[in-house]
Amino acid sequence: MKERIAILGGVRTPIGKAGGVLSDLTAVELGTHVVKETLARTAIKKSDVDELIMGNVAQPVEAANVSRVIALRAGLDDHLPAFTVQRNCASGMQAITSAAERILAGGATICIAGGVEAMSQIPLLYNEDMTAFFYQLSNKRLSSWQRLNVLMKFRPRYLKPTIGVVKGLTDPVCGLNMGQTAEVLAREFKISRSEQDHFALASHRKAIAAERAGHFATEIHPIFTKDKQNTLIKKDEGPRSNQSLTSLAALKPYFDRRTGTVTVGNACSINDGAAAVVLMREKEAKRRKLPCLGYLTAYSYAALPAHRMGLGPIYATHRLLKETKLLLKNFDLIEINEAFAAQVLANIKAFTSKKFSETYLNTSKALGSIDESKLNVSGGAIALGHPVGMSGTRLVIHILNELQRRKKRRGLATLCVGGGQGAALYLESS
Amino acid sequence: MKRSSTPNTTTSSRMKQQPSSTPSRSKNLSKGRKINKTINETIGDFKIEYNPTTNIGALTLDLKNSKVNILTSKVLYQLDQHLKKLATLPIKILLIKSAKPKSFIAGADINEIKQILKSPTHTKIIAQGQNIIDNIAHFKAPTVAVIDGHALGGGLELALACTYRIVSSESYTKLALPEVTLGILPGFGGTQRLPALIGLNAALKMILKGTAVNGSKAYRLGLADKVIPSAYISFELPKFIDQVNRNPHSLRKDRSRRLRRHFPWIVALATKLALKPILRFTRKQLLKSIGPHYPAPNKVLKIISQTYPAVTTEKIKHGLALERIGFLELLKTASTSHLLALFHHSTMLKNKAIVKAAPLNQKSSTSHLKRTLKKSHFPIEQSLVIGGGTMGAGIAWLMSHHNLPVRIKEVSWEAASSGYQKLLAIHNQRERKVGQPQQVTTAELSRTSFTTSWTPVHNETLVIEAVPENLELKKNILKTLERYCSQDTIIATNTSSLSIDQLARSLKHSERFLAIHFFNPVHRMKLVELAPGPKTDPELFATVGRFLKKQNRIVIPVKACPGFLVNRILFAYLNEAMKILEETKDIETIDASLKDFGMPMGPFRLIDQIGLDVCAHVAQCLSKAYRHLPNPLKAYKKLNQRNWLGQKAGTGFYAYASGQPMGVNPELYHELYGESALMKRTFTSEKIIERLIMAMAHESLIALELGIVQTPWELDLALLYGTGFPAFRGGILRYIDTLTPAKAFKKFERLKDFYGDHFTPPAILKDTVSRNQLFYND
Repeated sequence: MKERIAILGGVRTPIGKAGGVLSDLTAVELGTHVVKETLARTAIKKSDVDELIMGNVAQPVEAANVSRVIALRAGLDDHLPAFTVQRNCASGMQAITSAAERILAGGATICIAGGVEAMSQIPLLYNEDMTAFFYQLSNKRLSSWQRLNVLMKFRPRYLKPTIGVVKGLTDPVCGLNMGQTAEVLAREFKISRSEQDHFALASHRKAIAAERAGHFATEIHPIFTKDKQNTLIKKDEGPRSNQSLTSLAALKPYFDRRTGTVTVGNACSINDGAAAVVLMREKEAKRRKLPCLGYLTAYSYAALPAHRMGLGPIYATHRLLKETKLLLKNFDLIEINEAFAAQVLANIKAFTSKKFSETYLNTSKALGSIDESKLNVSGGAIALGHPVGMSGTRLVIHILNELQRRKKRRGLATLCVGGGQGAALYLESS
Repeated sequence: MKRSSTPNTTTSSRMKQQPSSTPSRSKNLSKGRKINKTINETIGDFKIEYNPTTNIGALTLDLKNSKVNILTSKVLYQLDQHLKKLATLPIKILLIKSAKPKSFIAGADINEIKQILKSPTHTKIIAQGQNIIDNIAHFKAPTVAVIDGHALGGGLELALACTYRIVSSESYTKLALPEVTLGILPGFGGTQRLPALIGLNAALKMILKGTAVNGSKAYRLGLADKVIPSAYISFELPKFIDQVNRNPHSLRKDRSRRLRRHFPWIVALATKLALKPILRFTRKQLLKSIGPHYPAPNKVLKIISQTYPAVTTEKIKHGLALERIGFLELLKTASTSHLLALFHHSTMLKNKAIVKAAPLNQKSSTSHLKRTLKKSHFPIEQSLVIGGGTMGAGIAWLMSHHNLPVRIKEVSWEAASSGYQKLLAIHNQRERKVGQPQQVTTAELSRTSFTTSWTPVHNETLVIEAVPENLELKKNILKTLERYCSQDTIIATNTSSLSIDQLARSLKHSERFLAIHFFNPVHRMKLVELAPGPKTDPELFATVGRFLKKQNRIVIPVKACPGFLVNRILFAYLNEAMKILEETKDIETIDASLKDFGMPMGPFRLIDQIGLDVCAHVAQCLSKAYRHLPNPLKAYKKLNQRNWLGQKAGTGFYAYASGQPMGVNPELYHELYGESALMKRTFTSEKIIERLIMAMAHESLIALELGIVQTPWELDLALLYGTGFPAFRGGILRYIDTLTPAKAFKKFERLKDFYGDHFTPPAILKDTVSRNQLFYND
């Protein structure tokens, strides 16, 4: 990148579990909440904002181009253009990098970018049989007799809904569910069930510790639920203080019932949440004398076969390191999104493996080992949750806050993307 | 049907009479008439158009030097002349339009109405007007009123006299007969033609309450024959005219009246049976809702009951005569002239520029106008409300309701939660009571955000501080706030009882500081008092005033003094009430007397509603400044100690069950007066009223004398909107005028002898008496 992009503000909602505290809130409401707040915190005039870009995976039917709806609801200027980006799990990062591109290309001075996901609101759908049945029935050329004939064809199994979330989490190319791709990696890298459960437990412990220490307080902006009580939600719903190895071990494998190792306990959950930041050139922020959270220095995306999508981080990081000529050890903090414990562990192993580098990355050296004290210091998606469109933005906000708190400089935020991609962002603290 | 056929017959007969210049062409005459020329001219306030090929005529009203069309007698006279002229032409259809944007005719001229009584021939004047409107009804061709904007009062009555009404569906189009709210009645046939057109029930709603209807409602009621978007009028109008020409019965209005046409006896019987019960019920409802002091609605009911349904010409004629008499009778009543004056003054207030008054202790008149800020332009793009209590939530509602993003700063998330609940309660109430759609609630709530931490405030923000009334707290808040604002961010405080000077001193840059005093509940009370601090920039002050006016507030600029204008006067009145209570120990008589006087509720019900804790606080602040007034602080304290805080606590002066007063709090007198609770005295109602109202009047006069408020009418309007002072009395200063200042002076002297020095006649009254003047010179 020619120039660093300053990241300002940075807020997120608490993360709610699917069907949990935030399940009544739509993607628009969650997004409005964070966009308003990040703008208020940075004290930028709404008329100075040039574009709003939000990442969103399961785009709500009632709000096509959810970004624009959020812009209007949040009281931004009527003349503010807005668009929505979708790079699956990396949507929240894509929004930030798209904004950076718009800014560097001279198309915008100040952008708000973020991610939003209301997975509780993803609808159940009629299955194919039922849809076909409806089509036949609505044919206007049918006689009454023919119509009766169609009606007779109805079977109760038609009523079984297609669950939108499940559909969305299944890769249409390789046919594997995301959990099944994690199983593939677990086998490839020989990762045991207990290794995964230990990793999951650590995620919960770190998240609870960070929450108790108040490390999330700067980034979370509390939100009111929409039910009758209008309860104030201040913290993430996911982390369990009483999580233990025994309770994790008691869970049955979810994706491969007989021989699998991936359970709902060592995988991320299905969640609701939103996050947003303000972006502008470093110079612009200095000119306005605005306090920055940090900078986006470089980023890269990479792709790989869909059934091994969990290895996205190493592919993307490899590219990023090549471009920036940095080494893995130069980073002070690393966030690898915890889609599955098996997937993060596979990445850790791959990073140190010379063989992996030779086979897949076309280099002779291993990328370097990951110091676990630098990795996911406040837990990750296994404990906190993974609202797919939002996680990318959350990682950026969190790593920058954490760098600032520890007075460290370089951060790497990376995640795997369903469909076989990886994203890696090089962030610097101010 | 009859009417639409008349023009054909008249035109043909006219043609026969007219000697045609070229007999050979006489065959073509029925098709294209060349005898009459095209007319397209502007005479006076009207544009007259006539097309001899289509035989369509149009009168377009465009009142000179005015934003809206008003039916002055001059306009009516011109209208009549043009009608007579057009009647000589073979006209087939006449359109009546307005050239003003978003306005058809805004009604009769209020100033002219006020002058009518002064003319010796007043009955004739009204009759003339009625005749002209009636001439439209009897015009030889069908008439069509094209209404794209306000059609109010006389304007709607004119449209009612037309055969058809086309109404635009835009939201600015409003049809109403608001005369009753001004104490008069629709005098141009409105009481006759409206009920005949849309039925008794709907018509009573419109006439008695002055309710406005929009285009689509008008169409549903049968008041309009067609409703179309404003932009389509130009090409939908010819189609409509065509329809009228070819088959007037295909129009909806006529179709819906099939019953009336074919079985008139059924309609007549039903009317006969239902009329009396409906009227009786309405009369009862009226008494309940507005009390006995407003004669206009009853007069309307009486007239309608005598002529309904006014379908025949004779009946309408009779009805018009009744209207005339009723109108003049009403005009002679004091209540009507007061209501008209209040209306006049509230329009004046809307147009009056907001001017910052000089601070109380500053004598020179020029120094305060010096500009102190470099900025001369203060755009307001968003607002920050500090404190999410009852007032804070109300103010936040107001801002978000008027499209402004608003942020509420609270000390803790618990407090923010309760602020959010209050905001939701306001929306809830509005959804139930004024039919606010859910969508609006969502939109307004999404414009609102909460925070517990201080964040930098950008320049285009209006900051309103609404934390609890505590001087030290407010000072601290202002001090902290200033660190996050640039030096010309507008900072306002919502208070009236604390000293603005002291608050201003806690700021480094107090040129941008002023007080905006909202009244509780903000979503129902439109009044706002605006007071400058010692250094407030005049342009900034005016900007805030204009801003609040845009938010549909009634803005009264005042000089800062403890209690400002309304609370200062209100508490003089409430304190006196407490003193009378001490003497009589009889709450019911006091409250009942004041209710008879016309106040919406008695003083003790009012205190209960405000809350005794709030009253105690304000009374304490004011008692320091106004030592001459009776001081009821001890009594308030006793009640507060028992936690009798008024309606919200369930007990106050009255005991409440589910929000309704269930008689006087049984332990009250004993708690307040101990042993002496049994020593009661009886005052007559008149005595109580005199003493309380004169206490109010006294403080009002002092406020006027000190220049707290700029004009007497602003004071009266403030009391009307702030305390519910009865509108039919026209205000407290109007009350003194009605009494005559001389008599008021004597009253004060007598009261002073009886009850103490706080009734000493104010100097301004003495002055007025000696100069033989009144406070109002209209």
